[in-house]
Formats: sequence, structure tokens, C-alpha cells
Amino acid sequence: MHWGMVIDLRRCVGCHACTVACQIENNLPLGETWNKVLTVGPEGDFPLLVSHFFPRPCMHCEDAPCVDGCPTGASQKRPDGIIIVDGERCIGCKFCMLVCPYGVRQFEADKGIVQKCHLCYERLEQGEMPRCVETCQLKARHVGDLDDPGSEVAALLKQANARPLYPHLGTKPSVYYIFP
Amino acid sequence: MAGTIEVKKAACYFCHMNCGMLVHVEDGVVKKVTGDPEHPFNQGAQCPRGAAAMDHLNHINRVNYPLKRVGERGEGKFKRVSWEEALEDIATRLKKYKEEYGAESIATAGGTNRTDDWARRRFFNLLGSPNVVHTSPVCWIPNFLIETAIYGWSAFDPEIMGSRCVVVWGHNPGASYLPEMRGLLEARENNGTKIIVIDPRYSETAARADIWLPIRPGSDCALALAWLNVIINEELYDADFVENWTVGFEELRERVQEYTPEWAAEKTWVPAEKIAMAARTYATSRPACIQWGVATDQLGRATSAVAQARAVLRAICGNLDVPGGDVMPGPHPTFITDVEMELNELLPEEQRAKQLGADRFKLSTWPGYKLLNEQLERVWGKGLPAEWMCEASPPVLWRAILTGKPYPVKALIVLADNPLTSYANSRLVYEALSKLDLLVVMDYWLTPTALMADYVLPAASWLERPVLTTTYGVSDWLIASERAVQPLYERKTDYDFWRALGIKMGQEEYWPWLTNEEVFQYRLEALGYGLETYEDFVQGVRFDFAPREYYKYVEKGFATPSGKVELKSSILETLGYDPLPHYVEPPFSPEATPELARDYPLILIAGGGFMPFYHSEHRQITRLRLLHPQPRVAINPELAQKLGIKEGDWVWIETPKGKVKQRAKITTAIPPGVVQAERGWWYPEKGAGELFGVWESNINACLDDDPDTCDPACGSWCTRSVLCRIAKVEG
Amino acid sequence: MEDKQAIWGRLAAGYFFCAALGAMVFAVIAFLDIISSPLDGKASGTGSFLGLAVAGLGGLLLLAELGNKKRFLLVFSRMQSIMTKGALFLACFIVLAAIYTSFWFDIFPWAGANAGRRVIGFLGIIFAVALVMYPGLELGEARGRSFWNGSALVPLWLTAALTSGLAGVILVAAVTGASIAPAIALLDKILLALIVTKVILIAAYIMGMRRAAPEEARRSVATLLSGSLKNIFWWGIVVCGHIIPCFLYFGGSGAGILAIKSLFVLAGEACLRAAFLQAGVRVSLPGEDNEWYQEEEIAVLAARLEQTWQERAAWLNGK
Repeated sequence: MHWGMVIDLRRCVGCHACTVACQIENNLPLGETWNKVLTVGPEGDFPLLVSHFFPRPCMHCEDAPCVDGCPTGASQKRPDGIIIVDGERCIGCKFCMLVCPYGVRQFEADKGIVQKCHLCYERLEQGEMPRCVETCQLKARHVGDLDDPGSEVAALLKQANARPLYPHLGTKPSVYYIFP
Repeated sequence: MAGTIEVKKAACYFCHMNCGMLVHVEDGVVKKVTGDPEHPFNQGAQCPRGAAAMDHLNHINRVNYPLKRVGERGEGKFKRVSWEEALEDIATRLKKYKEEYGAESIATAGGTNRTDDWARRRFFNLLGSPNVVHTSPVCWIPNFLIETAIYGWSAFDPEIMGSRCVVVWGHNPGASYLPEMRGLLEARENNGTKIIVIDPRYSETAARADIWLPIRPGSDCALALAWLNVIINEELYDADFVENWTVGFEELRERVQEYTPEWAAEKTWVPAEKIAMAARTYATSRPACIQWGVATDQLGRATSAVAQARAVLRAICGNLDVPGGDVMPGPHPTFITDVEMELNELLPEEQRAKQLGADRFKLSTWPGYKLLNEQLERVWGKGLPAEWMCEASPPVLWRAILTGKPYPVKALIVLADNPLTSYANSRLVYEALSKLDLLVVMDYWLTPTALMADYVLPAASWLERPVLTTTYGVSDWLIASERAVQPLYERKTDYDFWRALGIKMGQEEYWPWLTNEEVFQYRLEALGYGLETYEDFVQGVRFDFAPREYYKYVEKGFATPSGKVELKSSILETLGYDPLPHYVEPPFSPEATPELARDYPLILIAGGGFMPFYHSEHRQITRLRLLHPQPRVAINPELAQKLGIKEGDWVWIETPKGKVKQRAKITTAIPPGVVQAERGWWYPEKGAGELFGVWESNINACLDDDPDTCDPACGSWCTRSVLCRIAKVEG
Repeated sequence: MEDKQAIWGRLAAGYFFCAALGAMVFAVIAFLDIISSPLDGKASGTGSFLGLAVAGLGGLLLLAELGNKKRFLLVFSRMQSIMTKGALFLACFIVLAAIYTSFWFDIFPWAGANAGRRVIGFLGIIFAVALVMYPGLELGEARGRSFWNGSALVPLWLTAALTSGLAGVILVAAVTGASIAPAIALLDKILLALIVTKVILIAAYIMGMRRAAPEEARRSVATLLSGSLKNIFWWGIVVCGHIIPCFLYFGGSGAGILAIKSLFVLAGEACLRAAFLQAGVRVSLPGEDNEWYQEEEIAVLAARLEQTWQERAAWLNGK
């Protein structure tokens, strides 16, 4: 079992619903964002342009620098591939924030700990989709078992252009993007 | 009942889409709001506004009790009063104005959705005033009415999933109608549907287009006419349909000869070859459809000409009411529609004649409405609602308040609307509001407009009210949704308000239904589901989609005087307008006003929807505001460099009407001669003394609404092609 | 797009500086002690105590940087983590340095036991070196912050640490009046060599990163040379840390000159830590260049809006 996500950038229109739904689902303090959506472009000269949007959840890396670096074991990789933070063990040293190349980790000043997207693993365990997947009006997000060749995500991965962000960093993300 | 958990099926009112929502209610308290997977539009999804619904419901700045002004108008001093006291005083004053100045001295302004508008019209018809306004001249209505004049209803239900080509014209569903955008992309993925986007700006939707036509702002009419020219001269039209079901084709053929693609290339800035190629793609990919877009409703005097040319395009290409084409739903046959609730027949002829603007904007007021409804009732059995489709002209209304001409207007009741940010020429609107004897505002928030009111009344939002989605009463389907909770504090629905005020005004016999649910149940009874209550209907039926029928004209004929599609429209001719498609240049452009263009050389697009906001709403929902804290004006890098403007700089946008500032977003999404400013900006965090910063960034303060520049048929003012200049804000 | 690395801020830079200074002051003193060329007892005792104290201060800065200080002991939980290793090096060093220092003070019965002191000193030196080497490896673990990924960071930081250690010892000697010791003259010469070496190392580092493939490394260099860190780089590192001390070598070897020179070197070292730490920007995400607001600005705005709604609510309800 290896939970993964495929985000279809041909679909995303940058509405930020995932950002907001995630904040509410996880009861985040105002201003904290686990699921940012960035605007790429437009690039080129008018009217020959390209642009797309780029949602950025936690990449749930197989080779996760945050888990490697964590001095307390608060950052963990679950057997199903999801990277979580045990808030009870985190000392707030922020080393994981420093080593995460995707900038996904957020420091919660009031609790003094670091938190981030956990792929709504509790929802997944109850057979529900992560909140960002559920709320996506454009159905740009897909979640499933990367190990299962019959899963929807596996089928999508076979499409051309499905690749993770910055594979050269060797982090082996479980989040893939279908680029336009 | 402790521990009761219910899941209520509500509908979101944060835009027209009315997405279905599941509201988890525990002991009468809303705990969670998620998308309803069974709902055909959103299919379980939510946009950011919908996801943040609880922030809206529980925001500590909602207006929760009736407030009465105690200081000077606009000073922002209020005291809490009871509903009884507020209604009693309002009713007393309305009676006095009616007696002294006539019922027409009382007017009302409404907002986009969020209300049951028929109740408002019912109240006003019983009161005897025809002066009901919305922003209808700049939102859908010109297109709807022109189409209705030409083919007897609006073909507003494009069947994208079965279409081979979709034209998205002046519309950006990628930032405004997300379920529609999903439909577009799915149609292409599944069926290879071609997407043509017509937009001066590289929008979210244009970025996904197969063909993007980046026209000069406001030149839509030239493009549509050139398409007609290509399609007719190259004989790409549906000859059978034209032969059997249209009148005026030969005159049309003759008329469009002058509108060659080369002629249009000069007007639109799009190469002639590209115009012709897109026209061929549209005409040869049948069935095709043209989606409605709000931008072409906002071109001032060019507005109805665009709608006219486009309606004719749909017709001659044989796309009307065919599977995969522009489907004309017609009214729901058994449901008691809005028009049947309005009691228009009780408004005397002499009062209809007094409707402000009816003497010049004849299609969107009583003269046109009467002509259209005669035909519609003959063919469909019922007509269009007067709400939206038959309204006074807002620019004429403001001027009547200010000048007392043609007669005094003393009172205005505003619901779900913030005229200071949503109508053009905000300074004039401000002066008009200042001059009123009585201003009543019913709203969720203290808006800049509400700050000026004599009474601010607390409005229930969609979680606190049932919603019946009927597309303003003009579709053949409906969706019923329930309230999640009873209104919190002393909030009320607009129906409750009109009913209570109506009773105070002596209209008791016309308001027999105690609640929204009761009246909805009354309207639904004839559907024959045999359910006892409205809640049963929501839980048991909820969606009532009439079986889809196409080619309805074969049996019924078109609802026009000739029974056919009138390419040369007799109704427009009767009203004194050009019956054939023709070119109109928008009122402000280098071509139309070269003198003005010398001082104001840039074309301003004042509008365009953007996430996460809807119109002027949601600026106080902190979570949403953080996504987009400040207004942005889009400027091409070339222009920015010339003017020494850097990314994020505050920039003045100035027209002869006024100047406001927004922050520079330097982007190649628009060409160098054009800037695009965001609409609807005010700053709820700023002081009441400065009307919540309504003069700082509100682009409507830069727009003109001089009736002479407005559309002659529908009174639309111009927002999408305005002349301006910009400069960096110094210091 | 990060315009500076702001996750680890001044406290962390202060820790790196203090730990390196303290550890290397100690190491130089212990080394001279071991090779039987000690400074006089007063200078060695004061010096090793100050080394201990400065490293201890560094430890406190590190503790202050933690979000959840009460749980700091958990930092020792995971030996695979470089953070845990670093914390362990620091702890061991402090214990050994404390024992070593006690040998120089007569109030302890074991004072003056040379052999024991030197054994402890030797062990202390091992941990001191580990303590100054690990931060380079630690920062090097940040994939996506290429400015730190070069193999040159460890030697650079080691050289820098040694420089600050020598400067620290010379400063102590100058202040305690031990600056006439022959060892100090030698140390002063080594210091010059180190300063020159460091100029070369920094130049090579910057030039290498400027030509590096990853965009963020080039962005880091631009930030240092001409961006928001240009003052701290040119004035702090180059002028204070290197040029002025070199000129001061023309001013003779009086205690005052030595002290001033050392202070400039130390200031330059502090700037080096701070600048290199801030310059380590993260690889930018697609579209990050379009972002207008940094996370901190959003947090400030959120607080301001919420505050306004609170005040407005009171006003709306007539209070």
C-alpha cells in the first residue's frame, strides 16, 4: 500500500478551494497554509502565452529529508507512505522546514511545533477522500494506491508528462503532476 | 433534543451556481459544510467561498439586529431597534411618500440572487410603483431579451457535453463558474469538443482554449458580424433551417456584406485570417453552442447589437434547440413560476408608463416586456418574470432622485446589494443616496451603502433559508434545497421582510403563506409529487428536471410574431430599433472619442470575476481575504516599463469621472494598450468615517453611466471598454 | 520565492558562531597545553573557561530557537539525525570543557594534575572539532538549498571556526596581559595565514556557486553580492572580517592592536555565519515568483483583520 496523489494541471484553475477546505478540515490557525496554489506564468509575449496553476501539498516523499533529519522521530513515514508529524514529539527545531525542498512545512508559533499536510490519513482510513480531493470543482486531484496497477492514479501515471516536482533532488515524491 | 445530528441539503448562495451543500447540524448548530455529491452541478465539490461557509454564518461582524440611524446620514451611528419598531416606521413613511408624491416615488434596488425577487415585485406591484431595479442592464438581461425578441426565449442552456464546438464569449468560467469549466474540459477530453474563447485577456479559460481570439475590448460586435459575413458568403449556414424556420435572411445577407473579416481585423486587432478560421470552425462543427458571458452585457451602447448578431449566428448555423446546441428550455410547465407570483396584472397601466427609463430603454422596460410576453404566453403558456426582465433604469433612477425629474423619488429599499460598489458612477450614486428621505438596506454586513441607511436590517444567509433554484424563473427545471438552521439572532429572509412590510402596508390578503417553505410548497404542489411539506420535497425529490425535449419549435413554432426566427426582428423594429444586426462602436474608445483618447490613451477593462471573491462580497472573510488581500490592476510589462511602474506598486487609474488606486500586476496576459482593473473593492477593515474606503479602489467610481452612452434598447452602461490613464502613486 | 532563508534566523546564526568560537578557543588552549607550550595558567584558565562559557551561551541560543523548549531532551532521541549528533557533540564538549577548565582552578583538589588535564583536553579537542564540523554537514543535508550543498562548506566553516578560535585566544591573551608569550606571536601569524586562506575559500565558494546549475544557488550569490545581504557581506565579512585585520598587521603587536584586530575578526566571523545562513534560499516552486506576500506578512495581516473585526463587533453591538 502506498498512498499517492496525481494532480492534473490541465484541469486546475487556481480557485484555492483546496487551500481553504484544507484549512477548515484541519482547523489551522488563520494564515497557515498546507496546500498552497501558485500561479505559473503567463509566460511569453502577448498573445502567444502559456500559463497554469500549481497546487502544492506535502509531496510525501519516499526518501523524505524531513524524516531523515528529524532529531526526535516526530516526523515519521507511515507504512502506507504518508509522512506525518507527531505533534507530541516535535520540539520545534524547524530543521525539517529547512531540509524540505518544497516548502510545505509550517511552524505553528502558538504550539511551538511544525505541522503540514498529512493527506487526511484519518479520512482515508475511513474510506473518505482527502478534503482537497473532495472539494476540487475541476476534479484535478486524484488519490489512490500507487502500488496497485489497477488504481486510477496508476492509470493516470501512465499518461505522458506525469512526473513529480524536482525528481533530481532524489526525494521520490508520492505526488505526481500531469503538466499541460 | 440533545445529540441530534442531521444532514441538511442546502444550496449555496455565494454565486448564481447554487451548488448543493450538505450541512451537518448538531443540536441546531452548524458543524460542517461539505459539497453534495448528488448535486448535478458541483458533484460534491466546493469553491473556496462554499468551503468557508461557516466563516460567513458565524462572522462576528454580521448584522444581527435591526439598526436605526441616530447620527447624520453616512456618519455610521446606529442604535438597535426591534423589528416591529423598524417596520412600523418604514411603513408609515412609505405611506406618506405614496400619498404625497405617488407610489412611483418609492424604489428598490436588488442584488444578484440571494433573494426571492418575485416577493419584492409582488410588494411593489401591490404598492403601485414600477421602479424596481437590479444591475440587470449589465448582467444577462440584454442578451436574454434580444434573443427572446428574435427567437422567443433565450437559448441559455448550451448542451456542452454533446457539442462539437463551444464558443466561450466574454466569459471566464475558470474563475467564476467552476462546474461549467469542468464541463468544458470534460467535453473536450471525452468528445474532442473544440473550445473557442473570445476575451481580450488571457484568462483562466483562454489559457485552456483551442482557439483564443484576443479582441480589442468592446469590439465583440465586429467579430460577430464578420463571422456572419464569412458563414453566409461561404455558405456554411444551415440552409434547411434558414429556409424553413427563419425570416429576413436575404436582408441579413445584404446587410453583412460590408462586415468583412478585413474590416473586422481593424476593429478587433485580430488578423482577418484568424477571424475567418474561427468562424469556419464554429459553423462547420455542428452541433455547436455559444455560451453566455457577462462581458458583452457591459458594452454601453454596443451591448444589444452584440447580442443581436450572436443570436442570429446561433440561428443560421442551425444550433437552436438541437441536441448539443443552444437549447431553449422554456418555462417550467407546472411549477408556479416567478411571473405567476408577481401580480404584475395589478400594476395599473398609468403606473407602468411612469417606469423610469421606459421612454428610452424600451426593450428592458414595460413597452418591450409587454410585446415579448404576448408572444411567450401564446406559445409557452407563460411569460418572463418582470423581475430582471422589466425594470426601471438605474442611471435614470439616480438622476431622478437627484433632480426630482421627471418626478421626485424619496425612498429606496436595497436588498442584497451594495450600489456604491456595484453601479457605475459611484459618486453620483453616493449623491443620490445622500439625497433620499428614506434608505432601507437589508444585508448581511454593514456595507458602505448600509452605512448611509436609515435602517439596516439583518438578512438571513443561505444556511438560514431554503433556496429554490429556478434560474430566475426562466428554466424548465428546478432544484429545491432546505435551510440548515433557523435564522440566527434576529436575521430574516427577504420573503419574511416583504411579507411583514406588506402586512403593515395593508396587503395582508396577498401574503397568506407564513414562511418561505409554505410558499415554496404552494408553488410546487402542481408538480404532482403529492408530498405534504416542502422539506419532504427536498428530502424525497429535490431535483425536478423536465424530460429534455429538442426541436420544440417544430410543434410550437417560435414565440415571435411570425412564428419563426426573426433574423430581421419585428419586435425590435416596432420598438424603434434596427431590426438587423449592425455595427455599434462602444461609447468610449479611440475611435468613438478620439479627443478623450488624447488625454486618456489606455483602454480600461473594469471588471472580470476573480477568485476567491464574488462581486463586492467576502472581503471580510479573513480566510478568503488572505488569499487576495488587495486589488490588482493588470498592466503589460511594456507599458509598465514606459511608465516606471514596478510589480506591486500602487497605481492611480484615472478617467474623467474619477480616480482610484490598485496595485500593479505586471503581466503579459493583456496587451500594452489595455489595463484591467478588479471590481467591487472596498475595505471593511477601514473606518466608517471614510465609508470603509469605498473611494480608494472601487473601479466603479471611474465609470460613466450617462444614459446617452447606454444601450438604447436595454440601458446597459459601459464597463469593459473605458478610456483611462494610469500613473504610479508617489510617496 | 524566498528572498532570504528565514527559517533559522539570528539565534541559529548566533549558536553557530558561539559554538565555533567557544570550541576553537578551547581547542587552541588545550592544544598548546598538550604540546607543552602553554600560555600562562591565568590565560589558559580564563581562556578555557570563556570557551566553555561561549559554547554554553551558544547552547542556550539553540535552546531559545526551539519552538517547544520543555521537550528539548527529545533532541537526543534519534542518533541517525545529524541534529541529534550535533546536540550530542555539544553536550559532550561542554562536559569535557568543564572538567578541563576545573583543572586550572585551585579550588578543585585535582588542580594542577597535568596528565589528567591533557587527556581530558585531548578528548575535548575531538568533540570541539566535531562540533565545528557538523553544521556544514547539517546544512548540506538541505536538498533544494544548493548554496549549502557544495563540499566546500565544511572546510570553509572549519577554517572560519579556527580563525575565530585563534582570534578569541589572542583577545584573551591581550586582555589578561599574556600577549607577550611567544606562542601568541606564532598564533598571530597563523591567524594571518588563516585570514588569507579564508579569503580564497570564500571567493572560490562564491564563484563556484555563481556558476552552479541550480537557480537558487545563483540567487543566493546575487543576494549576497548585490541583494539584501550585500551590506553584511561587503562591510561585515569583507571589510571588518578581512581587510581591516590585515591592515592592522602593519600596526605592530601591542596588546591593544591585538585586541582590536581580534574583535574585528570575530565580528567578521559572526557576519559570515549570519550571511551564509540567510543566503541559503530554497529552490523556488513553479510560480513562486508571482507571490506577493511572505508567510509572515500574511500572519500579520490575519491578526490585524481579526483585531478589527473584534473592535467592529463591539461597535456594532453598541459597546
